Amino acid sequence: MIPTPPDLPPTDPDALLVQRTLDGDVRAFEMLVVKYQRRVERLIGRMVRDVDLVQDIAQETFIRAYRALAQFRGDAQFYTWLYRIAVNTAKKQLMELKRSPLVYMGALNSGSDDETSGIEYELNAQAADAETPEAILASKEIAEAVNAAMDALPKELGQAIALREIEGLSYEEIAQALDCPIGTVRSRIFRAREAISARIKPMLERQTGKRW
Amino acid sequence: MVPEDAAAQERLSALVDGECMRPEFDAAFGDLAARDGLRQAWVEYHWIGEVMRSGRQAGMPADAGFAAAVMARVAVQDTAAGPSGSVVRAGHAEAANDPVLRWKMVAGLASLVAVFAVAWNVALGPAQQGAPELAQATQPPVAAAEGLRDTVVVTERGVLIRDPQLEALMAAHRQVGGMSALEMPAGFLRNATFEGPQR
Repeated sequence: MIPTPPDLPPTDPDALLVQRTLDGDVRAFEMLVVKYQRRVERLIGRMVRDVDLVQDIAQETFIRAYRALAQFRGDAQFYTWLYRIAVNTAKKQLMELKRSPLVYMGALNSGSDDETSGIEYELNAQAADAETPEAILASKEIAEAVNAAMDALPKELGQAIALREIEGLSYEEIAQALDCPIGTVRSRIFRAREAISARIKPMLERQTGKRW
Repeated sequence: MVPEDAAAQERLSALVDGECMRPEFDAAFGDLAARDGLRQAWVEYHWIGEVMRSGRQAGMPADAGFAAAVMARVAVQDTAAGPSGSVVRAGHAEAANDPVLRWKMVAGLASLVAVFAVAWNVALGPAQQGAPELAQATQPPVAAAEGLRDTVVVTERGVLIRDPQLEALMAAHRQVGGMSALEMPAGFLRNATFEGPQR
């Protein structure tokens, strides 16, 4: 379905996880669920304020995506495809419940297929309104902790992860920018992530309770 | 941490970035599926990126309970249909006979026949047109009434202006006069019905 030559880096790990799922390994789908859970919830949260309903619709979205997975052809990004399913599921659910979406129904008809990042970030502030004060405070604390961990990183690690996560550069591009081998870039990014993760882990365990 | 775990985590970090070679992907996925610690790392690596890009709006990392609930439902789905069961259609799906040339030829032929039939009717001209002629055949009373003038009739219920064309039309369609399509005698129809003596 999604041909990837064995000697080239896959440009889209999601497509490989989809393929794995279609080959019968549902654990691959679980990885996609974990990866996109929060994004899908944030998207739905802009249409529905009821937190429980957001969770239900998010679940339904992933179930629908799973059922229709064979139709994902890899023409678009997996999240773009998932985004459409989420919006349609939310609309259907709202119609069934005869509720009106409280925030920006117009965003549903934006027609933006490409990651929807513009809408997403534009509306994030409003989405946050639906969160509890405790959740907002926890998110703020953790975001500050991540930023503090970033600042505490050795310069070469901080540069590597910032170029990757903020600028969206590939390993090859980062290697050229930092004038070092790709393997070094890969190692620096991993070490940066581990350092940040170690710093926020206690805080996360306190906030979220159950871990994997 | 033992080196093997560190190597697995570094592979996972590359997988998060879409920078694994295909054989590495298989190894990384195998590790990921087998070890809870790596699944935790998978969650955190993605989430760290979200926080770096969008600050506190990234919210909290994904929780295990949600994924467990989804996967429990997926397990039920699997026993019923599976991912290729395609119960829900996210986009336009091809018809089952879409790739069969024979069906396309049948559809094309049917279109040609329809076009030919329309062209034939047009080519025969107005003399051969059936339906309009039938309609005209019912119109002689109207035609006969042409040239007549409106007459004013004073009745018990007031003054009526009788339009000869309307009279002729009502005479031709007497069987449908008096009742509306809703089987209710409408006021207008009561007045317009060709029931001379009652008016």
